[in-house]
Order: sequence, then C-alpha cells, then structure tokens
Amino acid sequence: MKQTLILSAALALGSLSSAAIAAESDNALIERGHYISTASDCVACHTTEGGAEFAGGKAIETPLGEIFAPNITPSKTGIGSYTYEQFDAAVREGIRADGAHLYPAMPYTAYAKITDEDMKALYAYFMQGVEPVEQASPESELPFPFNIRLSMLGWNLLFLDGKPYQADSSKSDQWNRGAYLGEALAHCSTCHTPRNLMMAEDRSQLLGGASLGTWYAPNISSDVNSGIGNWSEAEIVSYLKSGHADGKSQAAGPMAEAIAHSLQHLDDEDLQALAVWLKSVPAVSDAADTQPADSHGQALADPDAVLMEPLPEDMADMSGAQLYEAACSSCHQADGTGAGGLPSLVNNTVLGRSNTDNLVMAILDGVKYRNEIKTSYGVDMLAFRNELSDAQIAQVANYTLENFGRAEVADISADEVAVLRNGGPASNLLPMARWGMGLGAVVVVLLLLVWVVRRRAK
Amino acid sequence: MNSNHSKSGVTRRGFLAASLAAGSLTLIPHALASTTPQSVADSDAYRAFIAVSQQITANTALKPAMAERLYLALVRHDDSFAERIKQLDSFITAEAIAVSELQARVEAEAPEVKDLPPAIATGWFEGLVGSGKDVELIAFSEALMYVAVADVLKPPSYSLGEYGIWQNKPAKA
Amino acid sequence: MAQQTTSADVVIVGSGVVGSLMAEKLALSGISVVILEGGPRIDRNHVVARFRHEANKSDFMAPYPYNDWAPEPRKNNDYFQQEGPVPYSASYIRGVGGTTWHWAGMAWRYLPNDFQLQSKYGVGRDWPFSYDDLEPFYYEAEVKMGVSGPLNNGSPRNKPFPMEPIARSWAHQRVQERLSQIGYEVTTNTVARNSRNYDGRPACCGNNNCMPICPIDAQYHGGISAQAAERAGAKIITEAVVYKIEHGADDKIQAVHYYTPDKESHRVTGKIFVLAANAIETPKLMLMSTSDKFANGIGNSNDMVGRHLCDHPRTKVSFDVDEEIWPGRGPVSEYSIQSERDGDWRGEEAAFRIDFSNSNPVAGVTSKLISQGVYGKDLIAGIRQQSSVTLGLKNIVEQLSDPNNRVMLGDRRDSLGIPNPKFYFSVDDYTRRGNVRARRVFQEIAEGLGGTNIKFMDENKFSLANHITGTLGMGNDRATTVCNGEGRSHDHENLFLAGTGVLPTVATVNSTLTAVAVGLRTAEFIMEDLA
Repeated sequence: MKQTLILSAALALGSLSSAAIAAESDNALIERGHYISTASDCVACHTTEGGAEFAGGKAIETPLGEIFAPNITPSKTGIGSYTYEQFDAAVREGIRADGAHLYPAMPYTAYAKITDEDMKALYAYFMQGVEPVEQASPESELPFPFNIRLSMLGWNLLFLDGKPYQADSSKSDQWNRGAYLGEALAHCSTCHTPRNLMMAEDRSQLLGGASLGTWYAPNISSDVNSGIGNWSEAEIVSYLKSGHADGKSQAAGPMAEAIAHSLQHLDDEDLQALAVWLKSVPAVSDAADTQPADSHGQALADPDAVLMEPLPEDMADMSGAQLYEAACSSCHQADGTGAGGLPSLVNNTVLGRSNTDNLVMAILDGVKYRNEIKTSYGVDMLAFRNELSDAQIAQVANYTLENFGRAEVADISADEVAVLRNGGPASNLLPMARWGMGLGAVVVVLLLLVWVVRRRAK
Repeated sequence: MNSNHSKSGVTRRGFLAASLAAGSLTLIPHALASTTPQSVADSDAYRAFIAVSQQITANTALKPAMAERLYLALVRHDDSFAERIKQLDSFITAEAIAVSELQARVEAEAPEVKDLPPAIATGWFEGLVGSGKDVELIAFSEALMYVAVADVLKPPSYSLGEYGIWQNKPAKA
Repeated sequence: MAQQTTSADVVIVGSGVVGSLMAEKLALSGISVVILEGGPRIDRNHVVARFRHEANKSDFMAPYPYNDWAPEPRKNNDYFQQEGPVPYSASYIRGVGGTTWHWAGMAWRYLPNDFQLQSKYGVGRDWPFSYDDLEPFYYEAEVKMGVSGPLNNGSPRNKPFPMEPIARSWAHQRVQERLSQIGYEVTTNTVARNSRNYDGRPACCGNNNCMPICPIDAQYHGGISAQAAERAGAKIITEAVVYKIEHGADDKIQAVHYYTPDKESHRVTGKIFVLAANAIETPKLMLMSTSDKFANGIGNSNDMVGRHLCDHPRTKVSFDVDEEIWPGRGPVSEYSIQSERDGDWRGEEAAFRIDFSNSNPVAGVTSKLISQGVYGKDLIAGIRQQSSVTLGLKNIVEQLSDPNNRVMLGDRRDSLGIPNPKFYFSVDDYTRRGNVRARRVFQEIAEGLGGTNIKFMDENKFSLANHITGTLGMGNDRATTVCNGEGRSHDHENLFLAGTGVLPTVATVNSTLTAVAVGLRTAEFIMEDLA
C-alpha cells in the first residue's frame, strides 16, 4: 500500500514540469500530504466516477440544485495559483482565494482542527504530488437566497472554531492521535453527531447518531446499548479496514464509501488509535435501547415451514416469509444466519437499532464498494429498488426485524420506504426562505447548507 | 397465468383433510380438534412414526415441526399409513431389528409394509412424499441429506459464502 | 376488423439474449425499437421461490410459469412432434430474457477453424465470414454480458476478458493436478459469471444453482439486457405471440401480426424486422407465414428454413474418484478439457469439448442409497462418502449439418391455433465416431483419477444440449442457406435473422456468445440501412 503511494506520488512528480527533481525530504512531505488527503477523504467529493483524480466536477445533489465540487489539482482551472495562505484559508476557514465563502459541503469546520504541520504537508502534496488537470468545474448555482455565499459569514462566526487540534496531555499519545484523526481528518462527527436548531453539531451528543436524509449514521459513542461500547478495539479496526465486524455489522452506503476511499488506507496503528479514541467518546444513551444492537433476534427454528404456504401467482401477494425466501435467503440463508462471510441477520446491528432506515436503504440500494475495499469479503449486496415495491420492502424488512432483529421496531410502512426511495424527506427550506427573508432567511440558509453537508455522501 | 406445475405446499384445506384422515383412523373422539398439531402428536400412529423415524434417521432429536409436516403428508398420500406404521413399528420392536437389516427383513417377513421405510427415509432425507405427479415437498433446507453434508455443501440455491470460498479444501476432505 | 397498429424503425421478435442486446445497441444509437415477446415478464425472486417450493428440482423448467398461449417443451408435455430416428428434445423459455434465465453461463467463443470446417476439413459448412471478422463483436458481447475466463482457452483475443477467471473449486484443483500427470490440460470455463461485482450485480457466491436459476444475478441472463434495452428506449410488448409475417409487392416485409393471449390480433409495422425468437420458434413462424408468392413461407423460397438442425448429441460418463473431491462447491459448470476441439482427424470424426460437472450430487446419491434400502448411520455416512467422490463428465460433440434434420410444422396446435413444431432428427456416423473417441478419453480420465464404478451412457442414446443451431443458417450460397453473412434474408431485404439458428456450424461449445456476437454485428448492418 505504502509502496503504491510512493510510486504514484513519484509518477506524478515525474510529470511535473516545474519540480522536475524534488529533494528527498520534499518527497517525504508529499507522501505525508497524500496520506492526510486520504485520511480526509478529499477524493470522495473532488473526483467524478471514472474522472481524473481531484479534477472536480462532481455534482452533489440537493433539492435546491447541484453543488459542484471544484477542481483542486495544481492547474490553471484548479488551485495551481494558490499560495499556502490561500490554500489554508480554503481548507480550514472555508474561504476561496477570490474571497468567496465555500458552502459547508466542504467540511472545513472539521478541517479547521488540522495542525499547521499537516496543512503544509497537504499543500505540498496538492501542489507537487497531484497531476494537474485543466478542467473547469461548473459553478454551483443555487437559487436565491442560497446563492449569497456571504451568508456563511455569520454562521462561521457562531460555529467555526478556528483552532487547530490541541492535544490533551492527560491522555495517551495513541488516544490523542485517534482524536485528531477522528475529529480533524476523518471528520466522523460531520455525519455521526446530531445537529442543534441552528444545524450545528451538538457537541453534548458527540457521535450520538444522526440521519443523513436516507442512510442513518448510527450512534458510535461508547454506550454499550446505543453505541458501540461493546465492540472490541479489534472489531472496530476490522470494520474500518474491511467494512466488516464479523457477527456484528457491515458497512454500507456512505460509510462503505468512506472505507473504500479513505479509512482502509490508513496505517494499522492509526486505525488502532481511532478505535481507542472511539471507545472513549462519552456514552450517548437512549433509554429505549435496553440491550446492545448486536444482541437481537435468533435463527429461524423451522425455516422450511414457508414451503407449506402455497406460493401466490403474483409476487405482490407473497407473505413476508415468502419474500424473505424469494429475495433474501439465498445469501442470508433459510434460517437467517448467513454463511461463509455473508452476513448473518441475527445479531446484526442493522436490525438492532431503533432507527430502521439503514435496513430499508440496504434493501433499496444494496451494499456496494466491495470491489474497492481490498480486505472485504468482496461481495456486494444486490439492490432491490427495481425488483420490490415499497409495500414489499416494508413487508420483508418488518419480517426480518420480527424474526432476526429488534421486533419492537418492526413497524416500517410503505410510505416510509417511499420517502427513502425518493431521496429522503422533502425539504421546504426554499419556500420558507423566500417567504421569511431577513434574519429568518439567513438562519434557514444556514440550516440548509449544513443539511447539504450531511447529505453529500449519499 | 396458467401453470402445469401447480403443486406442492399444504393448503389449509389439504391440512384439514389430512388431519381428518388421521383422526378418523386414530383419533376419532378428537376428529375436529385434530387440526392442531398437538392432537396429531398424541396418537399412537404418530408415536410409532416417530419411533421408526428415529431408527431410519439415526437421530433421536428430530425437529417436531418437520416431523408433523412429514407425518401429515404421509397420511395424506396413503390412507392406510396410520395403521400400517403401527404395524411396522411393532414388527421392528418385536423382532429387535437392526436398521442395517431393516429393508431385507421387512421385504421377507412383512411385505405389506415394505414401502414404508423408503417412504419415511425419503421424507426425512429428501423432503419428499409421494411419487410421480403427486410428489410433494415438505422440506428443503432442513432435509437431512443436506444436514448430513452441511459442513461442506449448502442445498442448491443457497450461497456457500463469500466469492471464492469454494477454493478451500473442505475440512473433512 | 379494426386493428390496432404499432410502429417502429426496427421491430424485433423475441426478447431473449440476442434480441435484447441488439435492441439495446440499436436504441442507444437513436433508432426506435419495439420488441414483441410471446411470453410474460419473468421475476427472478419469484422463480427462486418457485424453485424452492418445487418437488422435482431436477426439472429446470418447473420453476418457470407455463403459458398455454406461448407453449414450450416441458417434461411430459407433447409440444414437440417427432418423425426421425432420434427424438429431438430441447428446453427453452418463452418469456422476457429467454432461455438464458437457466443456463450454466457458458460463454465460449468458437475456434477459428469452426468457421471454415468445409474448406479446412472437407466436412460441414463454411461461414460467410471469419473468426477475425467476428472478434470485435465477441468482445462487445463479453463486456455486455460480463464474461470471465482464462486467456488460454483456444480462441484468440485482442483484449483481456472483462473479468478474471472464476476461482477454482477444490474438486477442480484436484482433477486438474491429477490429469496433468496423464497429459490432459484442464481449463477454467469461460462463463458469463461474475468473478467480482460487475455491472451492479454481485460476484458469484457459490449457490450452485446456475440452472435452473441463479438466485443472485451473479450469472448473466437475457432479462438483464431486456431491462437495459428498455432503459435505452426500446419498448417491449409482452404476451404478444407473433403468428404472421406480411410482405408487400416488393417482397419487403411490411408488418408482423401478433395475438394477445385472448387472441386479439395486432399489426406492427416497421422499416426493418428482426426475427430473434429462438432457432425453433423463428423457423416455425417463417414456415407459418405463407403467401401466394412465398407458398413455403417467408424467406423460404429455397426450402431451407428449418433445415440443417444441429445440436450436441452428447454422451456421458460417471465414476467415483479415489479421493474426496467434493463436487458441488462453486458454480455447476466450472472446468473442462479443450484438447479434443480441433485436430487433423476432424475430417473423419467429430470434435468435442469435455465438460466436468460440478453440480451438488447429494440428492441423486441419497435417492440411490434409499432405493438400496440403506438407512440410519449407514445412510448418513453413505451420503457423505458418495457425494464426496462422484464425478460426471460429458462431451460437447459437434454434429455436421444435414438438410434432412429439420424443424417443420406439426399438425397439433396450441391454444391460439398455432402449429406445434415437428422434427426429423438423426445422428450420423461422424458424430457417433466422435462419441466412441470420447468414451476412450473418458476411460483414460477415469483411470487417471483412480475411478471405480465407471458408468457410460448407452452408446445409442444421446443427451441433447439445447444448443439449437443451423435452422436459419447464414452463408454465401443462396441455394442452401437462409440468410447472408449480414443476417439478411435472401428473399426479403429488410428482414434480418438472429439467434443461434443463423450459426452454420455447431462447433464444440454452446452457441449463446457466438449468436450474440453475430447479432451485434447484424445490428451494425441494420444501423447502416437506416442511416
């Protein structure tokens, strides 16, 4: 892995006209910058599928229009002319070289915690380690009043903590490393921490779980029942590296993407440090969670009982058990316990949380990115979006919850599935903003923008 | 839509008919109540069926739900099953017949029940009852032939596991 | 009677793998396409459930809905009428996606010599074009279908496979190693099966159920391309049984007519017509479509439609290997031997490919033991022991085209009054000699694996492979073929034939990939016509 990094950095360097031969120390700096970029998952937004790395142009869909990630390669259409100070302002303060404020689709509130030293490495990498690509990104054109980028100023005053990460001397170096990785680079809390009324992260609920509109970023605080307090460090490391914690959980949706692009590439020591820090994050508890998410359900005792139910001619008339038999049991097995690395539904955290959105999303869109995760079991889950109706998905999801998971939450309705199928709850921010205007509108602008951040990985 | 293969599966009516058939032979006082499994399990014929099944499957912990399904299907396909299974059980018990010589002894000494051991074995191991067009499926993933090889193979259509898991040498090979 | 009329640039009859992939290609180039499919849509999940509920799991048609208005050959039905010395059997699915819903996913290319059998060996027929002409279309088909395979499979290629070969099972590894010691090279099969996640479908998970249904779409089927064709803009009309092809005074085809299941008739007009309705149903439709001018049927002025029927009249062997190999892990058809596919002897006797079965053997083994009166612990031990050592082989043997082997119209009719197909079929000495050689090879292989309990199939019986070819044969000789190398009917310039029927030789592999490649090539001539 590391060799690949060095090699690709070297190849990129070789093609640079300005810096034909870099000093060895520069190489080390660039390599470190590459690592920081990977840990920060810059590629996720700044590269289109199949497009040149960091050349931008990727559209981040929002109900108000598309936000286009800019080209961040060292080219004319990219950031080739950026001084270190300008680069720093963009990454840690959300201010473009031309003075315009970035939308917080760019997670600069997290990146603000990046150390000066790492910023310099990151700058070196983007200027010298990245292949320049001339490719202009479309300008994001959100409707009024969301097109007023200056509106970010007020919000930044309230919620942007401009200080780099400060080590906690009462904690170990490993813990501090994990906290830095988690808070600054990997920006875990961007998705996993619930927001307050102003849509800023509620630090009292750090990593307490939040919806991204469709997928749900679960509680990963140290609470045993509501979070991942009962996971071993080894299980957390395995999950971050392979997308699987055997017998517990598997990464899907934006988390699988984050592992594919970013987390799997981290050094084992860094993953270990992340795990140590995660285990220490104060428990965010929900009284409704009376047992760990990975402790619900049991294997079906008599799976072949379903064979006694005559099959209807029309799939729409199938029972939940028959839908499970038809669409799910081939991989998850007749009794629900999985096989040879294909996940068991029994004791699976996806069926053990009070929020069932991820179960529905996995059925709708499948589980992806396994080609990109090197040490995964390698198999994607099929998407059933085009095969099962909202009612069928609700029916089979409820069946799996009743039998293999948390039966008390087996009340998913077809309407709820329809909402998730169509991209999550509708936003009424635009009419509100235009109607309210003034101060109220500004608040709403802020609400929207942060909401956009949280949807970006969808 | 038409199907020339509409079959298999117990309809509610089929279940009732089978239970009534069983009841009429073995449980007359409980004929109507016999739609509940408990009353089937109470019959002498059912007990005989379980005893013979334990011999044929070499398994004393047979799943009750599957046992009931199989028993009801056997009764449904053969009006005389309930009577004859008691006869077969008595024959095995009285003669202390080892399962290894069961088929030969039955064919020689009790030919009127010689079809029962293969029918019961087919039910437990293959999950099938009846023959020809009347064949009925009562188990697939739980069929004992697949249980016998569960450490190496899955029943067809069920995944063995992650991609390429079949490269590994099977544990018992 | 007022008829409802539909119209499109290109009207395709049949939504199987070839029709659907042609439709997608044409639609993507901006051409309006309508596909008429006699059967209904097929839902994979429903078929999986039906398979599980089905008692006769070895009947690969049983999980698929049967429709009186679009009948197909089934176990114990009499859809096929027979006249020849060897009963012709086949199974195919009339429904959206067609018969590739159940196949072992074999996606072999022919060998270059399979295209020049007559000029090279003095037997059979030559193709109107060469392997090299088809090579780019083979690749196009492989990308669309998602094909994995080893480079050394005998068919040259310009680009690597879209996917790496499928991981080898333990049985495959053992057989390969042991047979290499007696000079037989065992190769991983070339298959439309995912060795990684591909095209939104998962990698194979070893469900070992490639026939009758891959439950997870790791194996390609025509239904995937039918959906892709619809996304590209093609329109599929299901339950539309085409029963008549109508031509004009200029001999060009003007319309096709179809019945709904209630026998309501519809007329569909177009600029170009493609018949891709299977190598039996297409000739049947052409033979039915008679007129004053074409009294023997559309495209049949030379009486060649339906003739030259070829299949693979295979022979088989099974035996017990002297070590536990445990077949049944991984896909059902996984590895084979290529060395007998071509050679100097091919002027005298048939070539073949040897295919090893990797189907789960447990049900067959259990049934046999129970019939022998084995119960209790002996039965459990016997199931394990015999399942672990049993191995089956068959030869995919070629057949020379013979005009007497043919599809005709039978006198029985289906619920819409459409005739059933009738067959004359025989197997000549060329193929029989090939099977004799196959038995010799089988014997050597069995001995190389310490085989006992060796059981050969009766040498006068043949296991047909559903690789139906030749009935719409393409060629340069207008007197003995049905269409030219473009797939264009010799009689009707806007009528194209597609599917396995157009292949003039059957070769030693299944016909699917080659039929798709030829169909994709034909699509380019259609695009030129419409340009």
